[in-house]
Amino acid sequence: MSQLTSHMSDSQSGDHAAAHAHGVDPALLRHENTHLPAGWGKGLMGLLGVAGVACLGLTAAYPFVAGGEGEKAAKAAKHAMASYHVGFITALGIMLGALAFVLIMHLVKAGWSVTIRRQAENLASLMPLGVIFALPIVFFGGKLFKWFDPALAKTDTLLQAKSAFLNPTAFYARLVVYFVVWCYLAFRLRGYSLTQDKTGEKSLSNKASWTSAWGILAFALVTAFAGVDLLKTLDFHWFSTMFGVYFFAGCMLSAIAVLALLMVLIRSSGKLEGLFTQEHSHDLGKLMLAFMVFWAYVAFSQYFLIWYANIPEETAWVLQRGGGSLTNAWTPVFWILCIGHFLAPFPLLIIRKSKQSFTLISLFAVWLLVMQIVDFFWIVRPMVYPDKYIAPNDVVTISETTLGLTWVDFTGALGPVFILLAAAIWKMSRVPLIPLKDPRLPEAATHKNYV
Amino acid sequence: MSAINPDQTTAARLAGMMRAPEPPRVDDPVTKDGSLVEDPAVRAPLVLGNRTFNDVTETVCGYIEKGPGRWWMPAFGLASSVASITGLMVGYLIITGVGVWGLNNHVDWAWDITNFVFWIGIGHAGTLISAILCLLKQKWRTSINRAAEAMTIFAVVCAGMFPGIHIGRVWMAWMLFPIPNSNAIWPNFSSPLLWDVFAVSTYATVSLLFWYMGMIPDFATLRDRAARRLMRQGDNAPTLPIVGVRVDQLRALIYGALSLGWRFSSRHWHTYEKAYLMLAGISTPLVLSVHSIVSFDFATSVIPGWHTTIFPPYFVAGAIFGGFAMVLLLLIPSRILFPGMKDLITLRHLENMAKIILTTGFMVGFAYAMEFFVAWYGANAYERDVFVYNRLMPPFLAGEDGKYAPYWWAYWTMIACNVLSPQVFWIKSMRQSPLVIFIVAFLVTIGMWFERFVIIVTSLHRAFVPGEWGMFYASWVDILTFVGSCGTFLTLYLLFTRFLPQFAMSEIKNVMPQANPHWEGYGHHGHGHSAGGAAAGGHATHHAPQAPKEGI
Repeated sequence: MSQLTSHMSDSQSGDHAAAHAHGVDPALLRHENTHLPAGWGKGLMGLLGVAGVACLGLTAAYPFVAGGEGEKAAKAAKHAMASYHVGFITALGIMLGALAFVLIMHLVKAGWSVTIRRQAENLASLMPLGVIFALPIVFFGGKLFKWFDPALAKTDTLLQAKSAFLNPTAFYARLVVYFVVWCYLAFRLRGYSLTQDKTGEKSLSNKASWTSAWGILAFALVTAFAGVDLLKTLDFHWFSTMFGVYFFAGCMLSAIAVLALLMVLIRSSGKLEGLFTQEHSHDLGKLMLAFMVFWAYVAFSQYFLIWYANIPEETAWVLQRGGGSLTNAWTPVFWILCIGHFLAPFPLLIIRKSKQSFTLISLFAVWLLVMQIVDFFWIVRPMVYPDKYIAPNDVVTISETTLGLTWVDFTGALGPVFILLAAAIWKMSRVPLIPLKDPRLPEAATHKNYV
Repeated sequence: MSAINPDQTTAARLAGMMRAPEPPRVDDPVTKDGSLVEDPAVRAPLVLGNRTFNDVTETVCGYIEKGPGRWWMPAFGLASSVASITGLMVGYLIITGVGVWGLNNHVDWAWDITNFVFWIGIGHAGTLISAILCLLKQKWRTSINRAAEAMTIFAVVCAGMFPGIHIGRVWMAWMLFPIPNSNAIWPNFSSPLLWDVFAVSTYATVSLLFWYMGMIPDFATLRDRAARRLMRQGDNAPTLPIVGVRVDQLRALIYGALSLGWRFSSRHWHTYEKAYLMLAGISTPLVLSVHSIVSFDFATSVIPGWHTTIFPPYFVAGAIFGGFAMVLLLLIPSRILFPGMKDLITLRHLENMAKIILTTGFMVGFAYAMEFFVAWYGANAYERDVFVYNRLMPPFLAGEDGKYAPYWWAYWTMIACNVLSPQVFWIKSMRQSPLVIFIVAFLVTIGMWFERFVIIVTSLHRAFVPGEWGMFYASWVDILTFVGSCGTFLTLYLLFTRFLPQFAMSEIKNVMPQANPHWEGYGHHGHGHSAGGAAAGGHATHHAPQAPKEGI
């Protein structure tokens, strides 16, 4: 019977009945259902925080632990920096994806996602953490970005041609612009939402829509160029017009994965009953599937066009990452990405149950988050191992190259992510778990997929 | 009173017989009908004019049974005359050879492939609306999907012609398909041009199936109405001139055959909805794949200006952009020409589409900018020159060396139409004005044609060696073939408006207030409306007491 009644109680049919819906059942909105008690999650937060800080400490210590002198020491420092860069980009990507989620949901005036949006707002508003995470680049960026070196510009003709863009001053200036735009959008949209919690003013939703309209434009430009600056310029000879989109696709996927984890965490603590149901989980899972496919589409298009045209200046980047017919140590990672990031989860995630079950969606979220880290690892780390530039005619085999995988790759990649998650849990208990007086909350509270 | 044991009024309402009481007037300064409501808590009504289900059926079937109006015949005459030019031009081309076009050794693809990509791009909006917007549960799509799907098919028809006739020896066109022939020659499977054949033919097949399947219930309605009129009128039924067949007899026969024995049983609906969802799922990747593969025609090459990795999503965004512009070009005049259509396609529908135009316009703008940036950033001299000296630089800005881009006018037309013209939609009154939307949609259509022209011709007209440089000049056959294809498109669309249901009736009825069994007229909502929903999920049982208790 429940199927039938709910089928008939179409809540979003775009009609006047939905328009005048009587809001949400006050029982669902009672304080204990929509707020976490003060100090909630201290244990988890502490665990993640301590683990994160420990990881970062170990990463920083790696050059000293690895020891060596001269070239070997420089390489160890570069290794630590690259590993940390993977973690930094992953954490930044999660915040950026969350910001994009908020922007898109406001822009399309979505109803179903209102009860999820607050966590995305929280994640995005952690952007100052991103600024802190970016600081090591300011001090040690030269270890990672070869073109920081002014001596290189004298010999490298390509760098000379690009020096108007590729110089540290312009790079730092751009980073400042990026973070200003991201922080402004994140704070402004979260501010509207928190104010609405108190005043219930409906016009704030329209203001948020407007901010999102120009905001998504600024966001798209800034984020695409951030992808170029932080990842593509690592190999400054290489270029691809798709790269900004590729970066964005990965950000969205990892943000949705983290959102799913946070929502399931909240539900498992007994909160948001009736406000985040398997229907919301189902839709979040659909978005996860969609952005996973989008990532695969973008990644395939980029790879395929480079492979087919076979122009050395483009294929070098792919060859170095084991993506060509010449295999090297990175070839297995390349295949792990193809299979783990798309081929294997695709047929599983397309099953409805995988998205509706809180347990299964959490598993997929963790898996895809790990795969996203592998993706960034695959982009960043070949700058350290194999160190030598692989020209298309070089014969390089697995045995001759090495990933150079050690514990620092794990600590560097996980440190910033752990700290971000700890901060997200800290934010969770400080504000209501959902936008309490959002005018579209009734739609979210009665959201059904089968009507 | 509930949906399970309805009283007489409810029963009448559920059967679509009852007109709703006057809806409350919504405070909406422009239309007063609520279609442009600003209140974020209110979803705009999708059907205006306080219609019953029967009204919708009468409106949609009326265009077919009573004819669209006096304007139709002259319009059809004009369009089909223009369409006949296609036949003349293609005939002339086949008899004489591709030399009648303006192609030359450097520019061996020009208007032919431009027109192909232009039309195939237009053919994307229909499937986007019916498949992707369906998966996204965008209910406003219900009143525009049928017309958009029809337009998709017709655009693909126009598109399909051009690769067929551009190959020179048209009688060898069958070799596009992987058929082993007597010479044991197979097509080149590693060529994107062959993938194009697969992609476009798959797309045409699935779009056609989707379109047709959606129309089956509507065909059955037309069949039943014709049969009922026949019974009522008997020998007095109007007959066709000359042949003397009763019109409704013919309708019952043709629509009856097309409706495949549809009987409106709930089992039929159940299967139908499943099939619809599956086709939507299958069509969604198709929307992306077709234009991605079209983009491969260019991007897999090593020609500067063609080889760039962003092409696949950029082409898809451009296709949606151009497709929505064409939907608007067709639907805005339709709102005037077909009485009653304004209640089904409201200003909100137009505004939503204007917003999609603005969004996708920015996406192509982003791609233009990114291509330009990477052409510079890539530091490849050829790539930089293609962008600056084949496309961008107008003669009046040329430097001391006097170098300028001969096709600067095409490039700047593209930028003006595709990136600048949609900017007026930032202003609310502009994106709510059908006239302004129509003008912008027209400009976008021009701009999207020029986009393909810019990509194809400006990249080809100057190869790596200056000795291979030369301009392209369109011949009168080039121009008239394109004009003819517009006529073909319009002719097919006009036939569609005359003989096929322009709206998916059942889907529109689904988004009307009466479709909600808990709806009891304006101002009464509340009973069970949210209660049923809360009770059903199993998570929120607090509301259960209000939910209908009757079993089934």
